[in-house]
Amino acid sequence: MSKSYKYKKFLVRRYQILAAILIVLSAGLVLLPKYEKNEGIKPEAFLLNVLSTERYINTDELADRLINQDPTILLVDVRTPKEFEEYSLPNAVNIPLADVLSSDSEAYLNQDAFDVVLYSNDNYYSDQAYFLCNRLGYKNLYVLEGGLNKWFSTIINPKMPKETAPRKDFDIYNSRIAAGMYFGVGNSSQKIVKKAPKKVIKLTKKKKKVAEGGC
Amino acid sequence: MKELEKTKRISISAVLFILIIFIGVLSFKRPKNVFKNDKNISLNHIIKQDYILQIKDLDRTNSTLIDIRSPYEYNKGYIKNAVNIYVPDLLEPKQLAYIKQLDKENKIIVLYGNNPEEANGAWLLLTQLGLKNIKVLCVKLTYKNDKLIVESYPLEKPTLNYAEFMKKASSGKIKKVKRAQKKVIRLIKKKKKVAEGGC
Repeated sequence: MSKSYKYKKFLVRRYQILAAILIVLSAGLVLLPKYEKNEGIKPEAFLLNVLSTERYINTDELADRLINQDPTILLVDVRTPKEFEEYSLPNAVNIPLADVLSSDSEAYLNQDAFDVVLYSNDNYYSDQAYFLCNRLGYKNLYVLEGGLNKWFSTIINPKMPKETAPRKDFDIYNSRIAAGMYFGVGNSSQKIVKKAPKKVIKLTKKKKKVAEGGC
Repeated sequence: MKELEKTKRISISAVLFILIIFIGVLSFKRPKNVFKNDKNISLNHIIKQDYILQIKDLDRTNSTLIDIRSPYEYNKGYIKNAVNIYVPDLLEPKQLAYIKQLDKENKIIVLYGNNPEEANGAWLLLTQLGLKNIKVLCVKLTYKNDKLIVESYPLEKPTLNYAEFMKKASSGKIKKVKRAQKKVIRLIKKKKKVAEGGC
């Protein structure tokens, strides 16, 4: 009898010890330094995105897609509303850089139906907008390389290649001129020369006069 | 006896459970770098725009210049006393520790590259990691005769008044950029003089 009693006591003791250890461990887990959750992607992934140039879309490509009326493109202007009012690309939406993280703009930026092309005067601010959205994991975002400055110097007012340039340069130049016409540039060099009305010249036939004088 | 078996099983499972928790805690990997600032703080930083330094505002005594270009470009020429940390190496432990150390000493860290766009990403990365005194030098670098020339960069300035230009363009009045006139260099041929003197 006494043996089992001692044993029972020991068992109770064991349980107490186990319970104590478990309580201590759970307290420790609670007090563990909080794992600061990363909001969005990791810094290493962010750095890789900073380095890659995949986000850039160049002006020729964009012009091409716009002319072909590609329905999947959405242009977003990140400049101030004032600058947007003065001039913007056709069918562009204005999301100023300050509002890029607001809930309204999230509807435009955080979706996978459209390819969103961010642009500004140059690509500094648009890059920043891209990075902010990228950190939150938005996809399908692109940046117009060179921004509006490059747009104007390539599509609207392209530089004529030198005479010694390769044929390819001339092809690019011609396609840019054509693209410019789509966007509203009426080039003086392409003015259609009005055909001068046909002048009707009446030729009066000189009647051959019979030789006068006779024999 | 049955009871003994039961208690044995319970105690064994309890010990195993404790062991598992222990192992889990010990192998808990803390991520190396964590973004400290959330998106809104970063956005405020960006909008404030006081992180963009012009050359004239650069205070050489209290700031450290960091060249974020590749080592090859750095060797070609760099601003005096600038340290070279190539952008992909920014998160390497040694470089990051160096930068964090500078930040702790409250020194201003100024990043520069071939143009501000290159430094843009690096700046955003470092500020989001929680470093406070990072600025971007608004310059563009060019080389002339193998010497480095540092010029102020007009950040995000429209090169022309777009609206006006479009108006002119649509009315067909833009003058095409005139190509420089071909320089005609006249070569005066020296006339061969017949040998004088006779025979």
